[in-house]
Formats: sequence, structure tokens, C-alpha cells
Amino acid sequence: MQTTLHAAGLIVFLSAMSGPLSAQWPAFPTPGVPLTSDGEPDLEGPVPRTADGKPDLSGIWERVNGQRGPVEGQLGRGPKVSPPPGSPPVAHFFDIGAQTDVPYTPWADEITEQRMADNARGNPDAYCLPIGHMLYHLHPQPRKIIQTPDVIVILYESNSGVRQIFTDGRSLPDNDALPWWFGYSIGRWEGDTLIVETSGFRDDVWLDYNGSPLTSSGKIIERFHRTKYGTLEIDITIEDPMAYTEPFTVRVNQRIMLNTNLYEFVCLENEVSSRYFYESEE
Amino acid sequence: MSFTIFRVVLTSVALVTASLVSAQSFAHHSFAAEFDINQPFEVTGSVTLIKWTNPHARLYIDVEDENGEIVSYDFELTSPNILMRRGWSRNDLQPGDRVRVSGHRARSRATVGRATGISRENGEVVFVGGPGGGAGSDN
Repeated sequence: MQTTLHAAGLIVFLSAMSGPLSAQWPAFPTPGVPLTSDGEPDLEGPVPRTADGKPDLSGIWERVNGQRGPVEGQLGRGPKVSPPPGSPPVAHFFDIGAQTDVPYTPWADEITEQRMADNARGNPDAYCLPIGHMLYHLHPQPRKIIQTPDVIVILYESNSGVRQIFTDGRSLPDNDALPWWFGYSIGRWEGDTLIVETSGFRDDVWLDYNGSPLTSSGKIIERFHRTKYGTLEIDITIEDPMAYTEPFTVRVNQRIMLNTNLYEFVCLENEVSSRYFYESEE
Repeated sequence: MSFTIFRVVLTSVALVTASLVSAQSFAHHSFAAEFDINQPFEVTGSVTLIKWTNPHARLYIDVEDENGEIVSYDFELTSPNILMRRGWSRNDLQPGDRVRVSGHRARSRATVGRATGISRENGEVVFVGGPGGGAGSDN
């Protein structure tokens, strides 16, 4: 009887969430979701594990509120907000330093100021290009983590982002001919935390919409920690002697999305905004 | 109806309602380069075309100006992906529908804007938006 009630409740829930009858996306239930005694998804429930005993990061994840930036959509580095208790500074989509003083080198500080003064016209997102680790982590569109023993793949709905994190024990290459939009990532587990190192970046990576830079001398260390069924915390340490006088660490918070999937997003199918950027100078 | 099912239905309705009225998020961030946050404006007109494409759905409306001339406006919305997650569909507005659109004007064109709010003449809200560019007005 309880199972029947749960099933009925789930069907009603899914029917409601699928939107009006004219909506095009069929809802398909996420398998293996822990339920509360009321038959609702238990987002505080236990973290699922893979066959080899590791936390399973697989799932569709969305950005938690409070990590966007200024409501008015203005660029700039505003007054610092204190991090939540017990948390590293939380990064914002607009400003990686929303909750911390970023240790810019004079060169990086000037580059960021120039980019803001130019209304972020050079932001790769504006041209449908890959947007780099931080902007992908903090983008309002979801991402899908697919975990296998040898590689963890992250598919980003925005701008066709694809990251591969190799967990087969390889080292970072030191002879890449090509600087990468996504960098080259290797990962290893320390307890229940996935430590990811990425290097081999291009010189023109943007770490936020303001334009905080990352160069080919940069390295990013990420610590992925799924703390509960529905919660993913990602601590990101930025190292780049060209741009920052010392490494600094920020956090991104994500939450599971259920009974859904990534939509197709072909950014270039009707990108007309960029033609207006330059007209304003005439 | 059992109490459990009733509670689930109530929760589901509340969730759907909340998603429809919460602010829009944006993909393909280029607001500051293209639009002027200091030029809010509003027009009322008839829908001529909806382009349900990425990175931005686009709403074209014909507006009658004070001289009785028809002026065509081109409004940029958020990605259809995000609109659909909010419960909207490509069929929610049809050519001929009368709408009031508020938004921010493009820097280079007076008849191009980034829409932040669209409503029918009876006040019913359609494709509700957040101010400015970037990813909507979450807190």
C-alpha cells in the first residue's frame, strides 16, 4: 500500500513538473532516488556509491542560488560579502572575488579593469565559445556528471562544454602542443573527495564575467565533495603566478536536479548579439 | 484522496507555481556589451514572430507610435532551454497577440531590447524575466 501511494505520488509529482500539455520534454524519473517516509525525494539522504566503493558524483547538477552576482547585471567588484560560516569564500558568476580579496598581480588587475570598462565584450560566452572552469561551474544552465572508473565526464548544457577528468592514474602531460580551452584534467580520490588537477590552459581564460584572467601558466585544483544525496560542494584553488601573487581558494555549491535531462543548446544557431556590440562604436 | 497523495499534489502544484513566477536566468551572457542598464523602456504592441532558438529566444512585435506609424521591435529573451524549465513553451505567444514588454534598450539600436517582463493586456504575465543581463535575479 505504501509503495502504491509512493508510486501514485511520484506520478502526480512528475505530471505536475512536466508543465503544460504542449511542453515538449517528457519527464523521465531519475532512478534510485532515496525517498523520505512521505514518499518525497530525500535530498539529505545518503550519497550513492559506485561498485568500487567511491562516492558517485553522477547526476544532473544546478547552481545553487546566491552565486550569480549583482542583480542589476552590472559588472564590477562590489563590497565584499562574508562567506557563510564554515565555508570558504563562495565565488560568483560575475566576480570570483565576491567574498574574498583576490590577490591580483598588477598585470591581472589592469586586464580585469580593462575588460570591465569594455563591458565584458571579450567574454567568450558572448561568442558561444567555451567559457572555462569557473563560468561552467557557475553557469545557470545545468551540467551532467557521468562517472566511470577510468574517467569522469562532465557535459555542460551551455556552449557544448565537455570536460574529461582522467582517473586512471595518469600524470599531467608536459608536452602538449595545443593549449586547451578546457585544460587537461586528472583526478584521484582522497577519502570521499575527488581531487582534480588541471593545466595546459590557453592564455585568455576568463574566471568570471568581470574578466579575472587565467593564463597558460595557470593551474586549477578542484575538490569535489558530494556531502549528501542532493549536495555537491566544489572547492577550487587557482594558481597562476602571472595573474595572482599567491594561490586562492573559492567554493561553488551545486544541487541535484531530478527527473530531467540536458536540453540541446546550439549557441551559434541564432547568435545575433555580437553584431550589436560593435555598432555602438559607430 | 488519501492524505499522502493530497500532500504530494499540493507540493507539486506549489513547485510548478514557484518555478513559473521566479526570475529568469540567462544563458550566453553579453548584456553589458549589448544593452544599457540605464535605458529601461516599455512598449505595447502585437506579436509578429517568436524565434524559439538559442542562445536567445527572440520576440518581434509591431508597435504603433504616436504618429500612427508601425515600428518593429526586436526583443531578446533568455534561452528557450531556460524558458522551458520555467514552464513556458513556444506556443504560449502567437502572432497577433497583444503584449506589453518592458526591458533595457540596446546601446546601438533604439528598437532592440533585452526583455525583462512580458505581459498580456489583461495583465497575465508571460515569460517573466529578471533585470539586466547575466543569470537572472536569484539572491
